Amino acid sequence: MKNIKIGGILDLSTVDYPKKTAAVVFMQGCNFRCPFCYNPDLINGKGKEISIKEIVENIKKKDFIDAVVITGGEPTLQPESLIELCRQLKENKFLVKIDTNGSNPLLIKELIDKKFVDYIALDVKAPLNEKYLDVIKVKNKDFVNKIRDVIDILKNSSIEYELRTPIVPGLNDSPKDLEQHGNDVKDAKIFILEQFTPENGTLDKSFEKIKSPSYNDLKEIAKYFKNKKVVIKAREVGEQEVSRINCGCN
Amino acid sequence: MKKAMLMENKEDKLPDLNFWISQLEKYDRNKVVTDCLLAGTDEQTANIIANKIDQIISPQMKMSDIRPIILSTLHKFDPAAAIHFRTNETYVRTSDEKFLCFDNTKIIRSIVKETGINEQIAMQIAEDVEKFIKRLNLTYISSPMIREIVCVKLLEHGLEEARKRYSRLGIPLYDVEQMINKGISTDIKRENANLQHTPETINWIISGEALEQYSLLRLIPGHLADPHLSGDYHIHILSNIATRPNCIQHFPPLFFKHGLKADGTGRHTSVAGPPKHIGVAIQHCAKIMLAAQTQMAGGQSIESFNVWLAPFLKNLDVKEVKQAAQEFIYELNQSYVARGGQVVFSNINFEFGIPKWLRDVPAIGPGGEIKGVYGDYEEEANSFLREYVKVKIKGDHVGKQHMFPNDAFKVRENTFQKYKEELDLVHQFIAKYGTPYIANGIPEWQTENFNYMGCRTRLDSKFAGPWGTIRTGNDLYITLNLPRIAYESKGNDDRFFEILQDRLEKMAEILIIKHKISDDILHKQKLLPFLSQKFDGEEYYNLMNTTKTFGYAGLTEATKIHCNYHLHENETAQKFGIKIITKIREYADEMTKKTGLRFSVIASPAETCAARLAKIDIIKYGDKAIYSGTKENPYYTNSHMVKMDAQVNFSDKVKIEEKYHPLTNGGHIMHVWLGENSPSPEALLDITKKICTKTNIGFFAYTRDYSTCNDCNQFSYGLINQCTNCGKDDLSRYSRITGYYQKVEGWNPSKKQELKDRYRFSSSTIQT
Ligand code: SF4
Ligand SMILES: [Zn+2]
Repeated sequence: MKNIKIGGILDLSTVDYPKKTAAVVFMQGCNFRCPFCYNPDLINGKGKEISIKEIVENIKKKDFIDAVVITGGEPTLQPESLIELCRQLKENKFLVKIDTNGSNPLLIKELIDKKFVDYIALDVKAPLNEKYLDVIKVKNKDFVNKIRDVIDILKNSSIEYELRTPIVPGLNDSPKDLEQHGNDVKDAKIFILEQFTPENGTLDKSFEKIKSPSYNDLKEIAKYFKNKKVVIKAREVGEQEVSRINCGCN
Repeated sequence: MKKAMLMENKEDKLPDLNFWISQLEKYDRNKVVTDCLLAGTDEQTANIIANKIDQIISPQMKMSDIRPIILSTLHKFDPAAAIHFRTNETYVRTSDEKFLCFDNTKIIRSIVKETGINEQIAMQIAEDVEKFIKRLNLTYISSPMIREIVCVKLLEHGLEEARKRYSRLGIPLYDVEQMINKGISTDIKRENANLQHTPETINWIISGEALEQYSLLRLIPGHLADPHLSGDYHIHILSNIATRPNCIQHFPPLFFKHGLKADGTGRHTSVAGPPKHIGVAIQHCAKIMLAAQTQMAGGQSIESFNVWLAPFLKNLDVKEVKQAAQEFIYELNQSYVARGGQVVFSNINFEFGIPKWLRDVPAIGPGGEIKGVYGDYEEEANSFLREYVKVKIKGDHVGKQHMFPNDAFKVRENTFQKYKEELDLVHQFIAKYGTPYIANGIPEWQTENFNYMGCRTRLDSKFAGPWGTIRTGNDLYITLNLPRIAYESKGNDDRFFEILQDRLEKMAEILIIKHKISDDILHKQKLLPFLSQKFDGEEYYNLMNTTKTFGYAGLTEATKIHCNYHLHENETAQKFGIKIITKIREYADEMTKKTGLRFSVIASPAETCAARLAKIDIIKYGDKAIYSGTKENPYYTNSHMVKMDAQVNFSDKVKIEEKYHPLTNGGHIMHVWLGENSPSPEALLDITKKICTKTNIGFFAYTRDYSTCNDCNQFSYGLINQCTNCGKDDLSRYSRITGYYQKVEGWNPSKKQELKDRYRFSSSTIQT
């Protein structure tokens, strides 16, 4: 019987799977060390080991959900358990979404090929160059290439997906970085800008003092991203699609 | 400093002299000065007082006549000295600021008049009082103080009933001062937390306090009032029992047909005729609530609002419809005039389309004339619903939510198939503010018509058909302290139900007393002219259809005490819980049969009373007490709800709570707590649909937190500490229930709270 290490399960969410009601499984552990990470307990904590059967049984009892979102930490760090969990969820007719940091392209490909997943959200937190390692605080250039691979895999599959990033003032919002950042993700249909909100703790405590960017700041930043659909998630507005701003000639 | 004060006081009138008649010492200016000096004032003041007295007395006056005047004057210039003013007499300081000689025949007269005891005993009492006062060796005593002493003496003579009747009603000086200085604190036991700090509110609270005391002393007999005071149950709206019924579901077409007399008689206010245009019709609706607010204790609602308005909307374009909706919402949110400077606690029930029971009913349209049947106006009714909801979504001029009316949307059999556009709008509204309620008519146990108010009181068609759901409401409800019964029955089931029966009988007695009071004030004293005005020979407020309701608090704590488990912890507790509420319902039905009155059962909303009852029980049961919250801030869990912090997932919560909705025919609600910052309307609609079609839940609301900046008015989802727009930390934070957390399974306990909080704040932005 396969086990899985989780931080917790959230019962009922209306925001983690687009337009669906979902349960959210938080998987324990991560191979990045983003200083702004909102879930330090999932990085540093021990988590809880439970059998996949138990998790699935638990989720099946939740009458009000249609989807399950597997997030973390980083779900792909427990590859076999993740595959098995997704398989069983699909067997039970749930929609499955995985949130990933992009460090395991092969696993993502396998999940897509086996049709064990319906939606993928990939974090692309900075331009895909040396800057990326500054942001995730792990000196391993491999990761950048792997993220590029995941983007390619997603682009060439028929699966629904989104790319996304938090905007952390002073870390990934310089015009130069944003220019490149926008360019690196331009092929994705959907790009999501998330407001950094540090009130409840961050992995690197010094980040708790950084002020959230306002919705208006994010609207400015959105101009660097030319994707078909750019969405801002901020407290002031909830979830808001940015209408494409053009020169006004039409 | 003192001089300046003296100068200012010069203009003050001195007490009326004619009253004084006596033959003792002759007036002597020097005696005045001496008396004053002996009392301890300085020479200058003593002289000023003597001069003043000199100017106003006549030579025939005696010192005994003058002493009260000296005392009054001294009291004005040097209150500290007045206390030591030496005299043989005791003076009474009356409410109009006069000092009169103590006169015990007045006491005798008032005792006889107010309490009805015979003169012999009254004289005895008055003598005792006089002796007592003499012993105190006071210079002056106030009349309220004498009243207190009379009450003590009446008690000493074993005349409890007379003591009650002789009581003075009022409020401690300290409380009044606190209210003026610090605002309306929750320590001062008010059930309505919506009060702002204004002179009107202070009036409302002080008068409420006096009327509440009146209810307990005069209206509710001791054997029924004492259990309230000791916490066996909690009687709501005590301050209004003497003068108002609780709530009402209005029926505007009567006013459309006959015009509007805001005072109920047309003698004191202008009389309006039948409205010819939607703009006037909608004003009528708002004015009905404003007028009735002078006579209702609790909430007011308009049932099927969009249906009644629909005949006025024929051939109007959406702009006009929207304008009407807007006028109504602003009127109700800005008429800051009701009961102690509040806005009306207003509610609206909306129908999607025209419900079956109204389709063939003649429709009252412009000019009060019949214009076809309501079934002809399906599109107009929906158009009003849509425009109204759009106005609500937009918020006010600065982007804040319109707090009123509370909106309940009634879902029926065909709603999900037929009214997609309207449902989408309603769920956008829910996603933004979380305030609307869903009233679910789909479960088998619901009736042809039914309605709810934001405070969750409910009416259905069982008692008097669908028309018995309007022009009536709740007369009174009382909340039973279930944990108390569990403590007292010490684990014995039979004992539990014996005590329950005893409590219910007492509560029924109170409800019947209230019915008689309401009957009297409506029909004998004619205190409620708006409610008792007649249309086509029938009174507007149908008292015979009002509900007399048994409520309850702390079911989960009760099962914990009695069965050792909370409701969510095991099946035995759940079964016992159902057994209790079923018993209460059976008793209500039995009482309805016996008396012909409409008894019902409500899952009591009252959060204040839940805290009061828990506090009393902590004092009574000490360490054994089972409660929720903290020792400083304890409360009993609302009605039959699972404990706020219970580790139970949403579907299990629904499974536990849905069983109580069919039992509580007087009202219920389930809260759906969503921790996220910006719930998705599509997903919310999906949940609504599942709840409505798959469960027995009759009434529910989503709970959303949001904050607005008090400085720049920026709206933000979630409860935040700092405005993201201007950076200020002065924010108003809104939540339907505080301290109610979404559950996260499997997290280690010390981190649980944190993750829950975190999830509440950042679900849409958690990183992988
Ligand atoms: S934010 Fe960074 S450190 Fe935190 S879980 Fe995501 S990838 Fe890992
Ligand atoms: Zn601000």
